[in-house]
Amino acid sequence: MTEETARASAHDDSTVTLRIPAQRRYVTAIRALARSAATLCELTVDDIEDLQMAVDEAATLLLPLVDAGNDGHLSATFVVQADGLLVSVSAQRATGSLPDRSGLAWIMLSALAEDLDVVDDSSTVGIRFSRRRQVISS
Amino acid sequence: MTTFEVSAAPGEADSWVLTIVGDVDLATAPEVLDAGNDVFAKAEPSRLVLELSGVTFIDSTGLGALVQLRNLTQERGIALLLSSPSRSVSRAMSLAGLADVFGLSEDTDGAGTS
Repeated sequence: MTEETARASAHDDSTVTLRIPAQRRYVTAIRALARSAATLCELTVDDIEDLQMAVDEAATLLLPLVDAGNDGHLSATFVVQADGLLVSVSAQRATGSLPDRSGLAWIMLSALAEDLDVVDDSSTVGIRFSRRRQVISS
Repeated sequence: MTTFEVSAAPGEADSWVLTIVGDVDLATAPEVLDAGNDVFAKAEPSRLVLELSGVTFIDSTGLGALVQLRNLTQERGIALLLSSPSRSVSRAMSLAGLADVFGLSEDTDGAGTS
């Protein structure tokens, strides 16, 4: 696998966004998109599974902060780059709370994500991270 | 959408087997716990076996359900055994620091016989 074979270059980032109702049963759709996006930038099978777990945990952390009964939704954005993905999962917040960093979901997300960051402004709460393609040694 | 199924059946000797197939996430994890509670309501096995070879994905919520099942079996003096954990299960437990709790060694991805 070489830089030349990468289907997206650093100068040609491609962005895919999915918006789902803020309900548990729709989180599987974000995982499915994560798998597709990861395939586009040629992540390894192990990396793809880790990415799916990371976006799942991000959604798990954000769902309690969203008002599901009032058209609440989660948005997941994947920026496909030459060497990996930038991921953002965000929601219009219903409370002033931030993602719970004391539980298992955060522990797992921290172990899986690079450049992990919480986005916090007046109307939106989100989690951003990246996942880079591993250099495969032969 | 991934198919998810959990089923309970009497196993060998004095055991019950919970077979879990598909993605165990925040949507389906409660069903795992419900299935365990159903077993405890109708039987008093000496051993509960979780058959996990068909688990295609598990997250922190799913792991939480397994931890709750483990606590419930301990309260009842029931032995809990993980059978053929899939690679997803082994990976998630390793990340969560739960591999030792469930008797899985860190380097046994896809451990167990199929």
